[in-house]
Amino acid sequence: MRPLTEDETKTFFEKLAKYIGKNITQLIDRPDDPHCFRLHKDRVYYVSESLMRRAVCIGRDELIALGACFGKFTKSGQFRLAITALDHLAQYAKYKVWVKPNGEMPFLYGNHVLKAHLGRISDDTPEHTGVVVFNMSDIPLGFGVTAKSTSETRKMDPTAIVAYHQADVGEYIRSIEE
Amino acid sequence: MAKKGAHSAKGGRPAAPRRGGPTANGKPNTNGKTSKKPADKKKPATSFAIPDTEVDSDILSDEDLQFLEDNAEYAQMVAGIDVNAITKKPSKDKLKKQPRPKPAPVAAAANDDSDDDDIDAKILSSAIIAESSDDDDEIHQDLVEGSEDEGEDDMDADLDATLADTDEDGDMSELDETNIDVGAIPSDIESSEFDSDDEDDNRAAASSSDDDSSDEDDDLRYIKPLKKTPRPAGSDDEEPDWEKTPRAVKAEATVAKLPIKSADGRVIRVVSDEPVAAVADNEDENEAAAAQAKKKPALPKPSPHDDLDDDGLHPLERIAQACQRVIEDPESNIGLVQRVHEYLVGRNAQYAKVALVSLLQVYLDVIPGYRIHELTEAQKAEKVSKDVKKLRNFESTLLANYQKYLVALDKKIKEAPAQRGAIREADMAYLAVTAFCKLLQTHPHFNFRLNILNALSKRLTRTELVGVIVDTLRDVFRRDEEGQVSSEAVRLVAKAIKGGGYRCDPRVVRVFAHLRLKHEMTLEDVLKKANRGKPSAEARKAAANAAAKKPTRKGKDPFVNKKQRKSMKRQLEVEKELKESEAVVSLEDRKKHHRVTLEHVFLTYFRVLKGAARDSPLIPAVLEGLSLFAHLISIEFFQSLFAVFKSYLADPNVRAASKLRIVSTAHRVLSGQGQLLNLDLADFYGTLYAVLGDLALRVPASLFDDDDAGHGGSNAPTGVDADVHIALEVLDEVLKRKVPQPIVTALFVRLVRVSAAATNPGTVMACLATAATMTAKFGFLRTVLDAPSDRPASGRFEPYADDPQIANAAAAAPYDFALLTHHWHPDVRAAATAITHDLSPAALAHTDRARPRLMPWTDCFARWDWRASLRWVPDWETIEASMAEGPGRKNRRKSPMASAKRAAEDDDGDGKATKRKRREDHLAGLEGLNPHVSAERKRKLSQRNRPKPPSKRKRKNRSG
Repeated sequence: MRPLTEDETKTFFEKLAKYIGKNITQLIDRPDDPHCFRLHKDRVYYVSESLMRRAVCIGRDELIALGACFGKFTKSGQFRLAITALDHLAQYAKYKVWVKPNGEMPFLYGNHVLKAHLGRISDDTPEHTGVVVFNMSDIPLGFGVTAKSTSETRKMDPTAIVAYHQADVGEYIRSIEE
Repeated sequence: MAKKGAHSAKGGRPAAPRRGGPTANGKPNTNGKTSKKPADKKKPATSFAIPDTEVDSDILSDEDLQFLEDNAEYAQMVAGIDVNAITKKPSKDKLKKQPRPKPAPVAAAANDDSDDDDIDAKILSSAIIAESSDDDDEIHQDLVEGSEDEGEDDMDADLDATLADTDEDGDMSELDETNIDVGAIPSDIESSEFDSDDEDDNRAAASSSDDDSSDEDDDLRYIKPLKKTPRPAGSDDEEPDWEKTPRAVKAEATVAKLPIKSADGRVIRVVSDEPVAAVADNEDENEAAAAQAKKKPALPKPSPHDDLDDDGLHPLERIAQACQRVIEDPESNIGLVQRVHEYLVGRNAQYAKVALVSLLQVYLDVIPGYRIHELTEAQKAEKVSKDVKKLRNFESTLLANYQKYLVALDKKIKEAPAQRGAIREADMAYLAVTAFCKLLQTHPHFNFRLNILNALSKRLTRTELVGVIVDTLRDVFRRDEEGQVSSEAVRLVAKAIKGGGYRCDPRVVRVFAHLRLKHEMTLEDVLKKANRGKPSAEARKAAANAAAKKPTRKGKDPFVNKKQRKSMKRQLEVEKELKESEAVVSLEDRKKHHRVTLEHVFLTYFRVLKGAARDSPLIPAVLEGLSLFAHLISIEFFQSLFAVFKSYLADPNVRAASKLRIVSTAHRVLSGQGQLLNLDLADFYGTLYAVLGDLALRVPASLFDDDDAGHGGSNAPTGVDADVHIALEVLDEVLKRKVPQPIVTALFVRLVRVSAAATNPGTVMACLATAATMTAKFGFLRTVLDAPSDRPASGRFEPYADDPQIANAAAAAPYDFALLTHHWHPDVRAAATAITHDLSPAALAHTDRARPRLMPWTDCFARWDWRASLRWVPDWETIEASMAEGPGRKNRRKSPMASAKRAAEDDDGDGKATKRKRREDHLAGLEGLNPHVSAERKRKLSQRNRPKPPSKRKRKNRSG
């Protein structure tokens, strides 16, 4: 377990900023309980500092996980957000997409969000940016990347893809064996 | 007219040595109209004196006229008459009569002419009156029409020109010669006179024909004498003198007072109150005129309005009488307006004011309920009955004079000093503006409306005039059924705003709010236009393609032969006429006008938003307007509009109220076509949340703060209260849409905070009322009052964060309610208690129970306005009566507040009876606070809550 290097931090924050923008500071500078990011076995964990200090004494091999996993670095150095980051992303998300009830299951099975399933969308979402997907009762279902900006979305046909699937809470069941 | 009157006073009859000379037409009109045309032509080259000369060359004498009139019907006979003989006659008459005529009348006529000329000039030159020139032409044509050949017209022009070029003294002979040379002219004139039945539209014609008839126009009468005097054809020698005389008189004519002495022009001037600058120049002429006058006295003609020329009459009396007469019988007396008009353009400011106001009243009364249309040539040529003739004559006279009046008004406004606030209420310019306003208000359908609108809209930059004009516009907008006037007005106002660099009074922009299209137009109408545009383009493309491939008749109209087309055309015409006669405002026309209007309104709004400074006072007005018309904003504007909005929201200099307006506008826009795509307006929620926070922290206005001075003591909330008012409005608007749960919670928490921070009980009550509505609508808000351990939310509430997402309001603890239950105001205490009670977990058990219903928040401000209550302390008895209306309650309870309080105290009790009683008390309190609870509902509630009398069954049981 170690802090992120400069490069890693950059890659990681760039990814994160796509979803929550400047709210990254809110993640770290929490007045009640300061948190930090730690890298352990290529995975990035979001940990409260007190917990982090206590975990220091556990050996690398013995430590399986701590805090909330935000994702992992691939061998090529890219960063992949994991579904376990959803709660935090949802809280600070800059752009959101709501799917209608009939679109929930398709999304939870790993499909993209279609225009026909689009219930609501943040008003000025740009193209190719991260969005958190909610159902109509505001429960976060996952996250993805927009295919078109909001204004273009208006003109699309119902079967077109609004947001590409990245992760969804269905993974908790689907990937249970991993 | 005053001048004329003066003349006639002198002579007893206004015999002018000169008549509309150049109007060889045979319609020698000294009237404004006839003279206009020649004047126009001459102008560039000549001075004012010249027009008079033209006039002098008139050929007809009184007797001629009479003769013509008598014989008017025998046109054919006339045709047979020897021209020379006829012409001779008049000349002889003239000779006889010459001694009589006095220069004075001539002068008056001349004055009239010159005035007309001026006006014409103005009209031509000024862009203001767009229609004016046309109308002039019209009128002129009327005058000229029928009897005159075009050649004669040309002749006139030539004459004018020559007159202009030549010396006034020497060239009269030329004039005569020209007339003579033309040779045919006299005869033409004669014949034309005979034909004049047709021409009667013209005053001139009418005048010529009407000497005998009693129903002649005043104008006509005046004109006649003028015509009679000089007969150029008859005596060559004398004519030059004549010519001179009128000119001289003309110069004088500007004088307000009428010259008295018949023979002596100079004397007259001296006598007159206000000598004109031009007098000196004309002295020579005057002398000549005097000499002439001696030679040829005009025949005095009895006129019904001669008494107006009475010397003893005070000018004001004269104005009054003239106006009186016009109003009594406008159709025959309309010409008298001319006399009053002379006072208006005269030098005496007092008389001018009186004349202005009197004329206004006259026009208000006289103007018909329809728009006067130009007569076509064909219509003019038609033979019409006497009545119609009279009516046409009236219309044309009215129109000409009305136009002159408007021009004069505009000039008066122009003459006002340019510095700010220079125009006071008693000023001429102010009067003139009011006159415009009145005319527009009363007769928006009448001719020259556009000119009035133009004149008014140009004055919108003057702060001292804005009030009147805006009031007028509002009135016009409200009453305008057809939409055309509004559309013209809006166009001009929009232009004025743009031209003024967006530095105009916000009231000007606010006036758009009164446009009828706000209610009469729907989004479909707006979209229809857009859609109509699109398919047509596509269709055009398709058509072009088809045409390129192979020319066929497909898609075009089915084949129609010539005959059918003709008949169709005729059919269309008939239908059109039918439509006109129905006088029903067609829906399509109205919508068309509305569409144009709307375009201009939005254009103005957008321009201001983009072009004006951020702190411009126009911005709030524009935003208000936008939110009013939000339902009509086309989706195509969304993107740019929202971009502008966001830049405003991000700007810290923009006032809270403006930001709130933006939020509400955005929501309204989206509630229409925005439904197509459900947008989540996070930024706008954020703004609302932030503004609410500001309101809670802002220093409240002190009790005796005088910042309501501007509101004239009305009950409208001011300062913070005003902002809270808007905020609550916007909150209502926002909550109509589906808003994410955390945001609702955050807004609720902030709202409660505002209610605790406000000082005005009205504001507190309004906030509480809204809070109560929210708790009723969103069940999850109950959790806010739960113990932290019971809540699903984790983390900490961030009270200072301005982003509702980050604030984590679900973790908040709005203790403000607890504070409010100890508020100093009993009503607030009661309301807070009621809401807390309803939110408490204990209340969850009674889900069937009616939710707390407070008064609608909008009424709270007025009801609990403490400024009002400071002035007026209500009688407790009346309040009690109105509040505790429940049957049988009055005696039991002191007040609803007390009952609510008791309910709160009883809370700890647990027995069934206590519970019921508590509920009952509670309801009583709320009901009392809410006068809007229907009577029926009250009865229901009271029945339900009233302790039931021991049931019959029970009694039976007992007995059994």
